[in-house]
Amino acid sequence: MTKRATRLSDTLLDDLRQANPVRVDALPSPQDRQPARSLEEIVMSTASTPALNPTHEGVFYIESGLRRRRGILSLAAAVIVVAAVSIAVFAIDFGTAPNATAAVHSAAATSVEDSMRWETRITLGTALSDEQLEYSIAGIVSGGNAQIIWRSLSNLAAFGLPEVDPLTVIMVDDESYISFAGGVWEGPLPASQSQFLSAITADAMIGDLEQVTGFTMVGSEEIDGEQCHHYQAGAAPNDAIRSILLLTMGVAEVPLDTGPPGAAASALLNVWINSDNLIRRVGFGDDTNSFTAVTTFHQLDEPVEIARPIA
Amino acid sequence: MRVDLSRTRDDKWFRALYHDNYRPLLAYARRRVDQATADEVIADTFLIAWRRRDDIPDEHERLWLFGVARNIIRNTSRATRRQRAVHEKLRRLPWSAATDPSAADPASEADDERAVVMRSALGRLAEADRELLMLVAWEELSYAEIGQILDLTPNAVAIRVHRARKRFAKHVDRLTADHEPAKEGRRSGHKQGTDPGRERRAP
Repeated sequence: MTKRATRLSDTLLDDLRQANPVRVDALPSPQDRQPARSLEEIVMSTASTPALNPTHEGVFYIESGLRRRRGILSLAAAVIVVAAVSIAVFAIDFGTAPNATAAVHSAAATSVEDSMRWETRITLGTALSDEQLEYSIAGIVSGGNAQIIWRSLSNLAAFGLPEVDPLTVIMVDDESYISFAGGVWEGPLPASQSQFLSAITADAMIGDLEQVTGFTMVGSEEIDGEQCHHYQAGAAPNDAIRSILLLTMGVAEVPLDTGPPGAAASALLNVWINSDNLIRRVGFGDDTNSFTAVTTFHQLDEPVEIARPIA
Repeated sequence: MRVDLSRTRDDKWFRALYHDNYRPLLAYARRRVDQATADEVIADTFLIAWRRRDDIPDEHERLWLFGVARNIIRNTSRATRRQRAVHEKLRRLPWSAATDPSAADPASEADDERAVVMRSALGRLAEADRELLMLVAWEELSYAEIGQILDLTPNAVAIRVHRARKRFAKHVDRLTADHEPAKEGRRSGHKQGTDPGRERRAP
């Protein structure tokens, strides 16, 4: 019995070895251009930082992490930049923001809280009707877990679509569960679907903004009673938008009239940031206006418990 | 390792360390995070190694580097890691396959079936169990070597690996059982030209 158990376990580990996704011999060589340049930069780094205390530096790195240290430094720098930008921008005029992209990126860095709620309103042209399909995706993310509710704001029957809403997704510990039209819970979903769904959570969407450059300031506008700066940039549809569209196609079987979302030529990305340097709203629309998505964000003071659904 | 430990730890010594450990360390990182993050982790790890070169223990340089890389990966924010994984996933996702599961290649699917189950089962383990099994199976380290990275005795590692294996086996069994009916459903879907996933979802 013991021998059999041992043999099975070894087979299992052999199978796991075979499932290794990264083969060492397939990786770049240290002599390749990029690794070789990286090596030179590291070796040269001492010359430019003579005041470093290796022991202290190392202990700090190991215990707290290099990235966190960089994050703190970046945050400190961002606060200074934002303070300067905010004073200049709020006091003078909106067309002369010294660095609108830096302001948006710094707001993105400070806006992701452990607990947030958000709502995305989407209008979408389809091949089903001259009318635009409207729906909302509302959610809460807290402690790394999330709950998302997809609701149609259009009469789906008029589009010839099945009544699937409310569609609810719960993500707990990287596992996702889904319920259609208030029905039974299915799940956990395959990891690929969970990753796909996690692109539309508030933290992922705000994180996407850090990939976008070329922002300009448009002006000052009121969002939900708050005075906000409005920034704009041209952008290709990001992953969150792609996920939203694929989700729509998946759950409502909507044939889009704009082709695959990745094929859209260009779009405008609008970002509204309040005086606390928090992103309040993000709007996205393609150049033919056949698709718009507007997301409003709110940071929550208290964590929200999101539990696995009961089967 | 080819590093001559008796020599002064100058840039020559470091270059040898870099060349001997770059690929294993990159493999370690890429098995745990997306490609872009892995490159950053490697750069950060070697930067720390260069600055703390006098602290690196003789004969155990690679394990020390693994430990540093592990700390860096753990300190990378969860949100960033998840976001990057999603980006990477979506970048690689052909739109046709995303919207039409029947477009998947059945032959390559069959080849990868066991690997998919193994990786999925690994993904369902708690982080500590997952890390242990990856160190055993993918980094091919001994219990004593793993103990050095995780600051555990070899005996403690052996016990934890045994427990992790058992939990892993349960996930593999469950996924294998789930996988078979799904595969049958897909086959019938191919024959009929339908998408069984959508049929199931439609009310």
